[in-house]
Amino acid sequence: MVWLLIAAGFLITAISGLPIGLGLALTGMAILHFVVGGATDLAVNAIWNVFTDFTLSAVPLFIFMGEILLVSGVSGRLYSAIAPLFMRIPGKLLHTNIAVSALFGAVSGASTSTAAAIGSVAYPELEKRGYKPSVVVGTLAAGGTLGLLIPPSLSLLIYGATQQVSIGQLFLAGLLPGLMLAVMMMLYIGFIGSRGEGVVPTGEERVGLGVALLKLLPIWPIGFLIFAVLGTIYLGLATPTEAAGLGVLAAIILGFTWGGLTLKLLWGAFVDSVQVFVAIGTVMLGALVLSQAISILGLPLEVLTWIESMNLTPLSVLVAVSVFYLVLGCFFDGISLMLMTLPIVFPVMTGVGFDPVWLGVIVTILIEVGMLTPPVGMNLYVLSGITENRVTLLQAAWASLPYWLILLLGVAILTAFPLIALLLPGLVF
Amino acid sequence: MYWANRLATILAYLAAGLAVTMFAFVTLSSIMRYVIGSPFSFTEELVGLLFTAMIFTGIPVITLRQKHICVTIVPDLLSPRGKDIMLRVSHFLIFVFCVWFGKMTWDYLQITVSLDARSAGSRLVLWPWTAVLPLSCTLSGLAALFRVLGPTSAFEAFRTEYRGD
Repeated sequence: MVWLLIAAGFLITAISGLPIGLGLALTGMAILHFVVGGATDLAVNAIWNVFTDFTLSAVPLFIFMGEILLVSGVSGRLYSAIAPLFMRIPGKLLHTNIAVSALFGAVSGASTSTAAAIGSVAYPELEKRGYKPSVVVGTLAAGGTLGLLIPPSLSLLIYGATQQVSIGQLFLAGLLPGLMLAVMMMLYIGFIGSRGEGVVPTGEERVGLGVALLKLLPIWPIGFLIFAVLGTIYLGLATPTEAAGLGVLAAIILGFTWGGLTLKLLWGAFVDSVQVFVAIGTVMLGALVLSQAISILGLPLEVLTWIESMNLTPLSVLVAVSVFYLVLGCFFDGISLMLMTLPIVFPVMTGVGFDPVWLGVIVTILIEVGMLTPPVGMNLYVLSGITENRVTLLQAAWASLPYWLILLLGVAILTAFPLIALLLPGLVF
Repeated sequence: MYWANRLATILAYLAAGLAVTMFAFVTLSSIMRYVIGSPFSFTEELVGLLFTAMIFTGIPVITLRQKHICVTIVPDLLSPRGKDIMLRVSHFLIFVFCVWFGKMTWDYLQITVSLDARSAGSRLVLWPWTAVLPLSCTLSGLAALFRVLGPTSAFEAFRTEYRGD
C-alpha cells in the first residue's frame, strides 16, 4: 500500500506537471492519512520545526549572493582576467570556462547560476573567435556543475541541514573532488584541443606568462569574497549561516565598488532570487512531509533489512543507488531529486557503512550528472537558451557526454579512494 | 487580471522585504558578536521565523506566475488543447493541496493562539507567524483555482505582460 502510494505520487507528479514539492507533500499527506491513521498534523510540526531552524537560512542567503554577483557583472571581469593564462596550452580558452566556473562556484554555490553567469560572458566571445559552438557549450555545461560541488555548495548545505551532517566538514569534503574533476575536465579539453579538427581556432595572439599573471591582479577582491564566506567558517569566526550573511554583505560591497551594482539592480536581485528560493523551499516542504511519513513507517529500516537478506555488498548498493540517480536525474532537477530521495537513501547508505560526509559529495556529483542529462538537464537548457538555440538541446547534450562520463569516473575514483573527499575534513575537524 | 498581478507583486515585494530583514539580522548578529561582544539574543529564532514567513509569502506568487519546479515533459508533448487540460488538472491538485494543508495549518494556528505559544529562548509570540501559513494556503488555493477555471488567453496575457517585476 505504502509503496503503491509513493509510486502513484511520483508518477502523477512526473506526468501531470504538478509542482514537485506539492506532489511530494500530497504523497506524504496521503500516507500519513490513510496508512498512519490520520496523523497528518505531524506534517505541519515537521515543517515548522525544520523551517524555523537557523541553519537552513543560509540557503536563500547564498542564492542572494550568487544573484547579486550575477547582476553586478563580476563574472565578466573574472573571465577577462583569467583568459590570457590559458592561451598557450592546447584547448586554449576552453580551459577558461572550467577554471572560471570553478572559481565562480567558490563564490556562487549553484550549478545553473554558474553556467548562466559564465556562459553569458564566454559563449559570445568564444563563438566570435571561431571556437566550435557545441564544444564551447559542452565545457560551459560541465564547468557549471562544479558550482554545485566546490564550496559554498547549495547542495551540500541542504544535505547537511536536512540530514544533520556538519556543513563545515561537507564544504571541505567537496573541495578536493571539485578540483579533481576540474583537472580531469581540463585534461580532456587539452586532448580534444590538440586532436580535434576545427575545435579550437588557430593563430590566435599569445600573451607572455608574466603579462598573463599581471592580468590576474585586478581580481584580488574575489579573494576578499571567498574569505568572507569560507575563511570565516574555517577560522571559527562564523557559522555557515552567518558566513552566508557576510557573503551577501561582501557581494554588495564588491558589487557597488568593483562591479556595476545599483540600488535598483540590488532590489531586483532580491525580488528575483526570493522567488527562485521559494520554488526550492516548496520542494523542501514536500520532501519534509514525505520524509516524516516514511520515517514513521520505518521504511528505511525495511529496505536495509531487505538488503541484508539479499546479501548485497555496500558496493553493489552504491551501484544500484547510482543507477537510480542516473535514471531519475533524467526527469527531476538536482536539488529536488536529492530532497525526495534522501529520506531513504541516507539511512540506507549510512546503514551499510558509508561515511555521511563522503556520501554528501557522491550524491552531489550524481545529481550534477543529472544537470547534463536531457530532457531535464538544467545546465543544457540554460546554455542552449544563451546560444539562442544555435546549439540545440540535443547537440548540447551530445557535447556534454564526455563530461558526463568524467563525473561518473569521479564517483568511481572517490569510491576507490574516499580519502580524497575525507582528507581535508579529517585534518581540520 | 490587474488585481491578481498587483497582489502577486505586493507579495513578491513583501517576501523580498522579509529576505532583506533576515539578511540584516544574520549579518548584524555576526558583526555585533565581535564589535560589542554579544549579538541580539533573539536573532536565531527571529531569522527562523522570517525564513518561514518568506517561503509562505512567496508560494502564492510562484503559484500564480507558474514558477514552481515542475516536470513538464509529458504536457509539453501534448497538443495545445491537451497541454491546457493537463495544466488545469495539475492546478486542481495544487488546489486540493492548499485546501488540505490549509486546514491543517489553520488548526495549528488555533493551537498556538489558544496556548499563547512563544519561542523557546526569547519568548517571541508565535501566532502572527503561524497565521502566515493558512493565509498563504488560502491565497495559493485561489491562485490555483484561478488557473483551473480562468480563460487560457488570460494566462498568456498575464505571462507576457507581467512576467518578472
